[in-house]
Amino acid sequence: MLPLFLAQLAHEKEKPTPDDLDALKAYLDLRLLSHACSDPEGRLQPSEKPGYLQSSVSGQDLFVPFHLAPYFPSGATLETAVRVATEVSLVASNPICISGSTTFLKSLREIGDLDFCEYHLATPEQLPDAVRAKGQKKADLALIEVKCRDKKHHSPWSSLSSEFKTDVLDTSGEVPASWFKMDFVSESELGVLPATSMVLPLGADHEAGNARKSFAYQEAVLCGGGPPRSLLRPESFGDYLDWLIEDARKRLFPEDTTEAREVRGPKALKRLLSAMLLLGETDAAEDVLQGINQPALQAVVARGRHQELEAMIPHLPEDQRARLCPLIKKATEGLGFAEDQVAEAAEIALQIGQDMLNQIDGWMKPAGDVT
Amino acid sequence: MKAEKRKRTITDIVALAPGRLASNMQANLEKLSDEELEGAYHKSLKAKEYVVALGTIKARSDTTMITHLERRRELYARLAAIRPTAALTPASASSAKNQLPAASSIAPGQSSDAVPLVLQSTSDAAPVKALDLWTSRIESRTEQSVEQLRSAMRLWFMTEEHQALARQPGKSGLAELLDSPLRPEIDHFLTLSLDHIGHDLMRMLRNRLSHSLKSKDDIRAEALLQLLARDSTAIETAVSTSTGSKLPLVDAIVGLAKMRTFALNYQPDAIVSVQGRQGRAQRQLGSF
Repeated sequence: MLPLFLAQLAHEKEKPTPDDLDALKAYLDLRLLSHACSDPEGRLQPSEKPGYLQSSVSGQDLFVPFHLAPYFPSGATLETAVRVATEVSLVASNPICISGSTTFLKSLREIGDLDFCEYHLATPEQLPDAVRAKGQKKADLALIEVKCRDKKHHSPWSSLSSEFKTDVLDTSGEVPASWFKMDFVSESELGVLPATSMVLPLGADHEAGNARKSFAYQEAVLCGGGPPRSLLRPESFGDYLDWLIEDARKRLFPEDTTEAREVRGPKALKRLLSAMLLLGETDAAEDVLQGINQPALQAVVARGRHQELEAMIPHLPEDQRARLCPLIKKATEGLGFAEDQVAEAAEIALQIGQDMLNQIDGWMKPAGDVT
Repeated sequence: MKAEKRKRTITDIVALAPGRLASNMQANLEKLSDEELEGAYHKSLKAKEYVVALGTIKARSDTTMITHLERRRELYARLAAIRPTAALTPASASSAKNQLPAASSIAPGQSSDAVPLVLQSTSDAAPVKALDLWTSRIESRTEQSVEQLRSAMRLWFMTEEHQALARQPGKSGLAELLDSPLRPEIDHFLTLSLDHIGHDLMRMLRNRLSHSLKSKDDIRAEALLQLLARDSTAIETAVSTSTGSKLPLVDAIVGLAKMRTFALNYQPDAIVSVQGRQGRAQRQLGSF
């Protein structure tokens, strides 16, 4: 299996060869053929960018990595996600990506938050002002926190002109500016949800520097002129798959963690869902998706989301707090599951994840170990 | 390329495609020119043989794969059996009064008579007792039809404050419900209904209730709205004029419609205990 071979290379930090690149090109072309038009409307067509399927939504070009196509949102859900993406975007000309669970919105009944990633391609000097503008009140989007270099900034945003400005612009070499994260509360047809946008300023090499903070394979890109990054990079493919597997392993077999079982199980399953999709194991992926969508695990995800929303309330401007609080409170009212049921669901999720990981590890054994 | 070779080439490539996407891939391959198809074939060989030739990764074993999938399906089934036990408001979540027996507590083939009722002697218990009584008279009851009813009843409890919403015309009410925390239970109910809802009933509902509705989903949505709006009369009328269908869902819907009346007229003293309820149930149900 080529994907596992590339993951193994990445894990052992070995450099891919030109032959690996050729093999990946062949693999991506084939996977593109198997996934083209697999969305309900059959709108996702092969693009000229290897590994990407292409469509357009709300007047923007959309590039979706092949393996996300069957689960990618469509219709009104996609339009809403794109609208929120546009609202959180700092600079209109920047490519902005729908990322993480949001790319599974068609199939996941509960998501913890809306994830976005913005690649900032213009000069970095405009970033502090652009962030400050996001702090201004909007009816359906409230900026809660800006995090840069471990420093957190909140309303009334006075530190954005001083500390943040210094931190974000004080860089050198291949990184034109420091990366940072913006947390919002978003109110849309998708509900009241936490929304996170990671802003990655890129230099001339779009795969270097801050680009390493995210994975192109997990991002559906909204842009003009094509996605800023390439899927045709054996190291990108291998790094992402290796990260998915190892992150799941950390959560499933933790050596030292304070993370609750209720968080570890569902998160590990989501990582393994993405891994199985990259590996082309669609039956296993469908199964795990059904598992994640079981009411007990949905309740676990919803509870995490509610906790995150509640933690955001104190940072909301007063008038928005008055309006959003009842909505958040309403959404956080009982979930219908007892504590022991949630614990049981989390335990089963861990067992499912452990079995999936054992299976993947079995594939990774050297050919001589065939049993 | 001759048609037969083309077909064989497509079959060879599709054999390498990920399981459920094989037919999608076949459709896409059929659109390719001979030259493109040839190229795809060589790519398939390259991608397949590349790593095997390097000898670094074990080829996938289908037997192992199936064993893992089967093992996990048992776990998924256990996960699916965990159902909400409390209503959705904090007040009721903190009390057991609205708890219903979980689906997992009913063994296959076991009748609902063997399921202990959690609710006893509270006025809120009326619909649940009615449910229990009613399920005991379904001759063809199965684990699934019983769970279907229980799911419907959980919805009944949960939707008290959503009744007005569900009564809204059109789909806006449903859309709001589907976005609400009730969604897992609604999905569960619909999944159960989906498995049992027959084509005859679908056709009947389509004809009698929803001339303008087009898809199966629309019909299901309509039936759900009727259920949530507690206005089962239309469904009951439709069902009663049908040609003697014995489908569990027909029973379920008629039962719900009847339960509505039963619950409204419920007298706690009429049912003393869960034990020996069969005989009393028959008498009580005589008024349905």
